[in-house]
Amino acid sequence: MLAHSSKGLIGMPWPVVVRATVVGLLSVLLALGSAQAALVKRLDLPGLVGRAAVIGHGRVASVRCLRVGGRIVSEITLSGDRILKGQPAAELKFRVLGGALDGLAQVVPGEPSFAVGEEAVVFLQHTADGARVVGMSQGKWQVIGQMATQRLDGLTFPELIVGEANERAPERVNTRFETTLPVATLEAMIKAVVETPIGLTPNEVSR
Amino acid sequence: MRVHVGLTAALTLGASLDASAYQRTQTRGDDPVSIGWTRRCIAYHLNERGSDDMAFSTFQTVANRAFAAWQNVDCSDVEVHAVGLTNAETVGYTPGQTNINQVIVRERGDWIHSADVLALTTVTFCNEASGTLCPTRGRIIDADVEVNGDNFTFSTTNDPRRLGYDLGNTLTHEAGHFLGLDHTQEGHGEATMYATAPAGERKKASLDGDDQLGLCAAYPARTPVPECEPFEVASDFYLKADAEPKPDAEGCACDVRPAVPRRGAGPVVLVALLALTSLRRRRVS
Repeated sequence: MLAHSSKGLIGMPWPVVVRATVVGLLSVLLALGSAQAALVKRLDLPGLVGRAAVIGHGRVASVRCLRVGGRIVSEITLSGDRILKGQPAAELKFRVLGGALDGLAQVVPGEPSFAVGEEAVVFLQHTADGARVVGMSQGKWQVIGQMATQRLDGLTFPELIVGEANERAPERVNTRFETTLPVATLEAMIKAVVETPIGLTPNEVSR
Repeated sequence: MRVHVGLTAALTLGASLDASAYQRTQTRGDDPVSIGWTRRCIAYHLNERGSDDMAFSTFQTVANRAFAAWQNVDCSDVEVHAVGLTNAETVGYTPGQTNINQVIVRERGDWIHSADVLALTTVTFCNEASGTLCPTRGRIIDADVEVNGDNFTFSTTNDPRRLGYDLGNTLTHEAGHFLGLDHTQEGHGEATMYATAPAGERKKASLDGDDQLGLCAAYPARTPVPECEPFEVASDFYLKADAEPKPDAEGCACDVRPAVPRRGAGPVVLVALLALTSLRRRRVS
């Protein structure tokens, strides 16, 4: 974990090192995946952190499918190893759309799925329907060993139409469907953003 | 340390998934199979709310064009028909209840999902084979498209204001999910089901070759192409939320119940014309 009172290896305060790393990594992320694209608004790490009321790192203790009206939802219980944002809690409960129940199944493309025993860092927000993952699959980083992976499969990022901008010639962009970081780095980046909020861009402000 | 972390991150960030072009949604659990509609004549309703961002007739036109884009493919014989309006608020599938496929724009606080989601499609299918409803695994029995009008402004190609997100692109993409297709992966950036959009693109309003491959793998054209039985549509094209239950949502227009429309006749006539137009056979066997 990051100790903000200590010094980094190069003699700079840790926050400075972390912030520089955040900026560097975000630059790489933006260079690789600057598509603003599709049906979910693209959220970079500061955007995810800003949206999340709770960020937790833990292991899935249970997955329970239930029917809510016509929907099948999966209620996830995450045993929290660490709460990176929000009030400390021994476990986190949230729901994702989709699941299997009584021979039927429902799928909502783009929504993350969780399996019992799986370790993850999750970004949660409060909605009218309870705690949900921020930005669908964007808000889940699966942890395997010392590495955390965000998978964007199933997500589409749309283009905002703003007057003449829509007349630009199409540009090809490279978007990564999978981003992997050391989990310690991810947590350090999250903490750095939590403690020094980075302003959201105009495109990230909800009405 | 900084160099090490940065280098590690850069290297790992560069590793991306190598996936197939189009994908079909799969059943859950062991031995997954691709999901799809059993019949090729599929009905949907438009929610009478329309969109706050445009005239109702514009919403209908855009929505119906989005679905029509998927049925004008020579190598597939799937047909998706607008059969009316509904005031039903629920999505998904409730056994024993009225279950219709619908497109609904959630406005004014009705969007209950993550605020950053523009639209999503809920597809219900048979995960196990059992009974008459589910003779085979993977059969889609209901699909609903929800659009987030609560947090986003939508526009259309012909909207002089040109502000917001393109509704045609959005619905064309969701119509692919409606049919059981999943997102196209890297290397196919022109596809409607591609997971990203180049800056300024509007191509998702039409299908590219990869979209068509996915569609035709799921619903290959047969020879001769069987005719869809005529959709029996109520005179006012309106389905009340409390209509009688029906067994499933496929080819369901025959169960549309008449009711008092809450909108003027204009939109109803437009839907009727669009539906009749789409009923026209596309191919001569």
